[in-house]
Amino acid sequence: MSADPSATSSSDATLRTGIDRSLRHPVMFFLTSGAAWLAVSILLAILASIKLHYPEFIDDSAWATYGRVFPAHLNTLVYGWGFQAAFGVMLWMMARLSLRECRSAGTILTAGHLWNAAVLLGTLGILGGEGTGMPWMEFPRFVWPMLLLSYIAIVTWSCVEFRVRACTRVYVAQWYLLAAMIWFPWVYVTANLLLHCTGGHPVMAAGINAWFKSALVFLFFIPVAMGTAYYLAPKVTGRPIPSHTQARLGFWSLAVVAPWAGMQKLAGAPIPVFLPYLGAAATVLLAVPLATAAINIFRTIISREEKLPKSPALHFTLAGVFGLLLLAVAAIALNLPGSSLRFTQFAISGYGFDILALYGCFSFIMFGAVYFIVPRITCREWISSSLINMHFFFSAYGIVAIAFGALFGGFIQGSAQEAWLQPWETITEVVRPYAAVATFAWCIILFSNIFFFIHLAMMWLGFGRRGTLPTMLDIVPDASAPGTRPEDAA
Amino acid sequence: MDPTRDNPIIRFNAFWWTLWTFLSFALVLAAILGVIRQTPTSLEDAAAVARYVTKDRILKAETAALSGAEITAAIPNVAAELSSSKPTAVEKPEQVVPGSPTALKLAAEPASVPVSNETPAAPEAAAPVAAPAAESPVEAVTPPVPQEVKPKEPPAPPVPEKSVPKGRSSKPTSGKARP
Repeated sequence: MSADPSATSSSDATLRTGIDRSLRHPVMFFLTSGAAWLAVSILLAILASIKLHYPEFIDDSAWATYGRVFPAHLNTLVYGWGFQAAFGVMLWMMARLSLRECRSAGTILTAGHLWNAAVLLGTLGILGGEGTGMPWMEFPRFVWPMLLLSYIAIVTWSCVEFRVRACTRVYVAQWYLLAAMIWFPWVYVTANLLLHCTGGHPVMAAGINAWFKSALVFLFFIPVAMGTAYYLAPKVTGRPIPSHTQARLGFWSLAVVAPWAGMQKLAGAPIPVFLPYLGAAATVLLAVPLATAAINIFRTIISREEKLPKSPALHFTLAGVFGLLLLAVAAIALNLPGSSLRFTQFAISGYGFDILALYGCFSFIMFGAVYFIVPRITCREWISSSLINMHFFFSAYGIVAIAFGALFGGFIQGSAQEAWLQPWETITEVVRPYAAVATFAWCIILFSNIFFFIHLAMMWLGFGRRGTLPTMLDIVPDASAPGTRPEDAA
Repeated sequence: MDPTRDNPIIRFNAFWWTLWTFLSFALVLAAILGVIRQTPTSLEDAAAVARYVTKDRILKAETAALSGAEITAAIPNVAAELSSSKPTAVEKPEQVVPGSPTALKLAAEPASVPVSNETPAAPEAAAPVAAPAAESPVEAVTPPVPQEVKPKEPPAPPVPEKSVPKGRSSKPTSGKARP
């Protein structure tokens, strides 16, 4: 005896609406405050970038020195934008894929405020000169327990929802999301306990810090991005993932290889010599899971090319997938011991790699998820497709300029460093044009992201467009599919 | 809702399992550290032990040389000396507050102002000009400590003794008296 299809569809829609309603405020809080932190981070990036080619800029204030502004930029990008965007997307996707409503919105919101307070205190601490000096861990020492407690209070409920999920089947997106939820506390607790709570040799502390940075990218941000892309691509196109085996290969190779990466930053340092080589080999091998996932998702997207010009979510996701492919290539190109590593180890290439991972890949896929999720939980459509277009093109051109400038400029800088007969000023002169380009690129990214934040805040405040047709990028709505949303994947 | 998959007991168990999973990372790390951590035996660590011994010895010697008890015992004498001294007017014209009665009085007496920076001030030219204490309180807040200045060879131009605070050298840096 089969159930009535129309009744099933109606009950599914009711369930989805209930899930969206239960998560409306937590998700919008994380996405909006994350967008605000992103604008702050980019502003700090502009300041830091200006100082690379015009060091006299605001040189009479200690807080505005490069040594404080640059770490503040990266930490707000990681903890202010990156984590909060991930929280918003993870909470919503896990609830939707598990078909369970969120019952702890109040706790999650409270923890979200604590997270934001910790990020604010940490950023002020860095600008006030209290930073720890360890990349991506520069917040003063009292901040990390606050962040960890907030994280646990936010994420635990998603793990519970996964445990009590309605269907026994586990989607590929859920693999990555659940893994990222568990890997992050492992990485964060291990690094912070070793660096802040136990004494140790300072050189090994630098090694642990390098491992932490790499693990944060490849065991949290990249899995969240991959999981989100594995959700969005089939959802919007209405086509399944072409190869489940390939998805499994990508996941397990990431899980096996990523924890070993990172130590190549200490090549030549007085640590056991196998550690940098192990790190370099693991980072090069990371190209396998990155490329595998990117190709799998790309094949899903191009299976229905006609959707691509219209859907903002698909636009951003596809750009993020290209970012993933570029990251795979960069992981090989930058980390070959004996050839490229000596040029990139102390150059701005590392920054280019980080920005490519955090913005070119992770953030683009998060933007795609935001454009997909927000209309569903606010029951409004995006106000302006022009703003979305502007956000996409400015971000894409900006990040291409920054990432390529830093990656290529880093090689030039590294080769200038290797030419040890020339004065050091020559090296700074070589980097100057790339820094100037990065400043301009950050400016246009800031411009687009300010409007993104305003757009998002207006959606949360209920100023979104009321209508049956979703906002598409080709301006004229497709009348052949009135009011339909691709909801078939889950 | 399927009660076999979603009920309060399963949720409660899942909640605690998640917390224990997160906590286990810290516990496992603590256990590993407890097992593998041992007293360092490398050459560098052996050298560090000797360095720490030297550092302790120097710190002890420094502490012994600068006894806190001696400093505490000296404080009453210095305080009594300071409180017994009387405030006097500043005798350096360049320290007179511009626009004050003293400055106006000095301006009215051009002969008493030094002509050039290069010329050492004569004792007569630097004659003290009394300023009312109430009108120039800033000049009276630092009571000069009586101190005998012994000029070295070659004898420096005379410096007013009352204007030399304790702890500062009264000897001109380049053999010339400041104007």
